[in-house]
This record gives sequence, structure tokens and C-alpha cells, in this order.
Amino acid sequence: MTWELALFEARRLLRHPLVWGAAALVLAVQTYLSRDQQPDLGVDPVHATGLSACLAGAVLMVASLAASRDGRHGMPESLAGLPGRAEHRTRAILLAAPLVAGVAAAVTVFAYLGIRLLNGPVAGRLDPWEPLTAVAAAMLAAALGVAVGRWARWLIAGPMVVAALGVLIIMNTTNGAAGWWLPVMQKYRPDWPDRPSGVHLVYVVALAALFAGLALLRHRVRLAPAAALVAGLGVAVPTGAVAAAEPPVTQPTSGELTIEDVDPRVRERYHGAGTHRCAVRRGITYCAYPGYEPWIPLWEEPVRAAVDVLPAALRARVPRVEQTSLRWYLGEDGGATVIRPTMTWGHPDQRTALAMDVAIWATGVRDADDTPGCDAHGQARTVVALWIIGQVSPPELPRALHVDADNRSTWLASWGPAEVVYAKLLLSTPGAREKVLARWDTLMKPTTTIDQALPLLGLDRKFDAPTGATPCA
Amino acid sequence: MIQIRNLTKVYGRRRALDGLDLTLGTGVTGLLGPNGAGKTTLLRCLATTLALSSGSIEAYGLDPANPVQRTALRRRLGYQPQDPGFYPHFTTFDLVDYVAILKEMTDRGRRHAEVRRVLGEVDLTDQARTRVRRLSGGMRQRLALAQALLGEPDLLILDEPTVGLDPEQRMLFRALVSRLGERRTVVLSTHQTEDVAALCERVVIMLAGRAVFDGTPRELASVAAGRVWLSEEAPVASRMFWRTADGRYRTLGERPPSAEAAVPGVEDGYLTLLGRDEEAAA
Repeated sequence: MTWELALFEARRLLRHPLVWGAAALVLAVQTYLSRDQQPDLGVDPVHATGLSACLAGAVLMVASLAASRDGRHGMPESLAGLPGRAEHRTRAILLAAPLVAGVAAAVTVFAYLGIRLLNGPVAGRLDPWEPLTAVAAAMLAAALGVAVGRWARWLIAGPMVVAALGVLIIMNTTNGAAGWWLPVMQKYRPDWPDRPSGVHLVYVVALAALFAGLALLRHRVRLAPAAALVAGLGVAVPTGAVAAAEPPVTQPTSGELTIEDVDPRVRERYHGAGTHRCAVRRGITYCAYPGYEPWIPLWEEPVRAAVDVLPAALRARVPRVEQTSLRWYLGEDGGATVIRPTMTWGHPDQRTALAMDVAIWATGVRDADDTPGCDAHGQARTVVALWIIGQVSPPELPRALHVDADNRSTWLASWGPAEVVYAKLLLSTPGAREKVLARWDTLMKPTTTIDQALPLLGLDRKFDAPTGATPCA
Repeated sequence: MIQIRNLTKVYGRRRALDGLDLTLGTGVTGLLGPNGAGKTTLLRCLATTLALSSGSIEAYGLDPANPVQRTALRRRLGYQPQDPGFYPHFTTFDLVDYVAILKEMTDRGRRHAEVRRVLGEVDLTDQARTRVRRLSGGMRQRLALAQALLGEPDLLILDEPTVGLDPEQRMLFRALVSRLGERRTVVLSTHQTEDVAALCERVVIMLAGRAVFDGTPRELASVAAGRVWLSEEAPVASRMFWRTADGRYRTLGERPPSAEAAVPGVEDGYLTLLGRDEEAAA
């Protein structure tokens, strides 16, 4: 009877709009949030796990309602005269709810990962425990929902538990120790140390067993549920403690950084020998961290577009393009590497940033000691620099560019609308590249003003474009 | 065969059943009695949903006080409570199917056939896919009967089963229950004396937790013999009279002046037995 009842409950749960509504919502939200990011197998499953907590919340409420259902709508009297007892019903829901939750989570997580894989070249290392944790967390939520429904039959009990857990999860998004006691740990960056995901998965499964035992003990003390409770507790406490003992990631502070500031768990990865895998493509060297080589063609596209308009002499000595973890970058290369894709890729600003790196290197529009405040107004090379960037994205006023989730990049120079408009006019001028290359040396002199350059570039004067008070050297 | 011996059920200081002795066999037995007489308590004890304070019930050789035998007895009974509960978001079919599983019908094919059968018995086949919350009161009452009929139980316990049924449905109900009563034990409680008269070969009248009458409907009606009257004038001295369709007044109790005797019915017997006629005359 329990199995038949479990199938009945499973069919009902599988048709529940809250379960599939939450699954669709989670899938849509996950897909939307990562829409402009290339797939990273190290990070995407973690995001899937975090957001599947929403699905787990829905499952918890549905399981709680199903478990407490026989105390509502005047059913106790009808059910009391039947051979099937409350314990049978609890057992059936304990079989059905985690099963449906697991299926819904698996469908959602793997659909999301499938969508991500279709999004472009895949980088990073897959942690197989993470997607499994997403499934296990939903199953845990189902078991917890049944326990809540059995021990606290009020309709509001399930939503209250979901709200409480939701607040705890939202407040524990950083990699702090206490966060690992929760079923999901949302926040992760590709250059962070590996997560204790395997032991955390065991912890989540143990909690599910614990709550299943607790739900069954509502009826009477029996060996199997008591054993499940004790075993769940016996496994959950040490595994949770092990996961929580994992030190949080060291966040470097601003200022002069040394190797000591780099988290010991990632020193070898980012500062050991052979940290990059390099490939030469059409004369330019591209270096990626292991697993990120598939992104090289993506970096090549904006770099190539910007480099292709440079004089041949410059094209022959383009610095190497090297993937950089901005979190752990110590400046140890003395600035030799100036074109730096970061640990994520996909945001339009990241293409602009690479073109900007090329433009700054080629034109030298920067303050000599990289202090902010360099004024590029009125300089002809500023227009050329914006024109180089314009090969990738339209010229615009200075702003901070998104280079990864935690960092913005700003060109340490300022310019105005006149430079932007002249750069746009230059972009739309036929034969602009030939004109620029023919007068390159003149245009690159810091003393060459825009007014002097306009006839050389075949542009009409439209605005005043005076040089600034502290011009870039 | 069901033997009820010295059955007592106490709620706090109130004795809902007070040393009741009763034997129930094949056929339809109707329980009549005023509110609070103990009818529902007796049915709940029979349905094993209520523990006895003292006394015993033995049904088909099974003692409901014993947990194992109680489960065995539940396999053989069908119970329609006075206020049957329903999950409003279930479909009619699903609700009966759910109860069928809890009645240990594990073979899916046979179970679904049985669900369709009982829904057909109560004329709810067309509503099989309708959610319970969309059913009318009468349909819900039939749904409650349908779940009680699952598995063709030996003992069918129906607590006020005709409440909310329209005349046609009530006729169908009577036909169904009388057919079931040919080979099974059917116990129903009701306030509808015409149902008792039409259906039951045996009627038990309960008062203050005891059976004060146990006999056939005809015997019950005969209790009022010589106490039912028809008169042209309103018998103002009596409180229990009404004007009939032919313009005469029907009275229960002492003979009004110039009244002639009328044929008593089950209701007359019931009221006479409870002493209501004397109260009316007082």
C-alpha cells in the first residue's frame, strides 16, 4: 500500500503547479542572470545550486502541505476508519516528495547546464558534486517539508520555514564558515579555492535522512526511523563541521600586494610554474589558465580588430594577451603584460576593455605614473585611441568598464564629447585607416592637437577641442 | 454479526452512550433519535474511529480494541461520516482512488475499475474529473457514499447519508442501500423518518445513549396507534398539529373533540415513544 500511495502522491506532486512553476522560474532566472557570460564549469553548477534553493523552497512547502493534508478539510474522521494509517501516508510522502523534488531539481539544473553549454565555448573545471548537491538540496527540502507538515500542521508552517531558511541563505552568501551549515552556499568565483563540495553533499544527504526519520517518529518510536535520525545526525554533524572548518577565501586588501596576500590554496594555481597555457594566433601570443583555452578565440576577436588597424611595426610587437586573475594579480610582470582578459568572459564591456588595452598600449595615452587625473582632451592621439576602440564598440565618454563580477576598469585619462564625436567621424570616413597610418608618428605626438590633426585625417572642424591643463604625457 | 455489549462512551461528564446493548445482522438498520441521543457516537465506535470508554464491540469475530483486529475490521467496513471531509483540490476520481489505496486496494487496474464502479453507483461518473470544490452539496454527499462503498464492505455505516440529496437522488440512494442490505449489514442514522420507513427492516430509537426501541418500522408506527387524529377544527389545546392538504387537522396525542382516528406512521411512533405527544398536549 505504501508504494501505491507513494505513486499516487508522486503523480499529484508531479502535477503541482508550484513545483514546475518554481522550476521554470529558477531556470528562467538562472538563464537570464548568466545571459552574457560564457559557460564556466567551475561556476555555473554553483550558481545552479544556489538558485535551485528557490525550487527547494517550493518543494518544501508542497511537501509540508501534502504531509499535513490529512489534518485538514474534515478528513481525519474519514481517514480514521480506513486500514491505511497516518504512518503509511507519511512514508508514502517521504518516498514521493524527495523523488519528485530530485527529478524537478535534476531537470532544472541539467537543463540550465545544457543551456549554458550551448552558450559558447566551455571553460573551467567541472566539480561533479555541485550539480548533485543541487538535486540533494531539493530532496532535503522535501524531507524537511514532510517533517514540518507532520510536526507542525499549520498551513503557515512550511512557508515560515522557507522564509527563515531563505533569510539565512541570503545573509550567508560569502564563503564564511557558518554558511556551510546551510544546504546551499551560493557565492563562488572562478579564482577562489576549491569548495568542500563533496563533504557538503554528504552533509546534505545526511540531513535528509535525519528529517525523514524525524517525520516518521511523529507516529511512534520505531527502530528504522530512530536509526535514520541517529545516523543522519551522526553523519551530518562531522561532515557539516568539516565543511564549515574550510577557511573562508582570503580577500586581498588594496595597496601593495605580495605573495603572502594570496590565499595559500591558490598560490600554486596562479603563481606557480606553468600557470598558463599559451597559443600563438596570427603572430599574437594568447595565454590562458588551464581549462580556459577555449576562450582564446573569443579574446582574439576584439584584440585582432584593434590590432589590425595599427601600423605594421606595432602589429609585429603586440604584447602577449594573458588571462589574469585580478584578485591575485601582484604586478610581478612589471606591467609587461598590458592586455588582460579576466576570469570571466562575455560582458560587452570585456571586449571593449581588451580593445582599450590595445589602444592605450599603441597610443600611449596614459599618465606616466598611472596616477589618475591625466587629461587627454584636445590631443589628436586621443581621437586615434577612441577610433581604435571603435573597431570593437562605439566610442564613448570615460566610464568604468565591467571586467568581471567584482572589478571595474577605468582608463586613467579623461576626454570629452568633442573627442568622441571626432572619433565617430573618423570611423565613418572612407580610407581612415590609411590616413591614420600615413600620419601615425605625427598623430601620436602628445603635442599634436586635434585642430592640427583634422586636416591630416580629412575631417572638418566642428567643435573647439582645447587641450587640458594637465595633459597626458 | 455484530455484538454490542454494555457500550459506554463518556465525554468529560457527559455519557454519550450509556450501557448500550445491540445486535446487528444482515439488513438495513435505521437509527433514529433526537440530537445528542448518541447515534453518531455509536456509529463512530462501530467505525473504529472512537475508542470505547467501557463495554465491547465484536464484529465478525473481531475486537476493535485490539490494534491488529481493528485494522482487519476496517478492511471490512465502509464509513460515511456525518460531516465527510474532502480535499477540495482533488478530482472526484482521485479522492475515491486515494481512499481506495488506503483501503489496501493495491492493484491499480482493479482499483480504478472499482473506483469507476462506485462512482457509477452514486451517479457521479460524469463528474469523475471535476474537482471536489466544484461539486454541489448533494454531489459531495454522494461522493462520501461512493468512498464508503469501495470494496463492497460487509458493514456499511452511514451517518445521515441523505442530507442534501434531491428527491431523485434520495430514491436512487434508497434503491442502492436496500440492494446492499440484502447481503450486508447496513447501519444508518437519520432524522428522515420516511427514509427509515422506506428502507429499514429494523429501526432502533436512541435516547440519552440508550436504545429505547428496537423493532420494525411497522412496530414503531403501531406505538402511536390510537394517538393520531384528524379533525375539522384546529385542536388548540395541542401544540403538535398541522393542517393537511385536504384542510383537516392532524394531531398526535389525546383525541381532540369530534376527531376521527388516523393511520399512524413511523414518525408518529417515534414522537410518541419519545413522549413528545404528551409534551405537546401539556
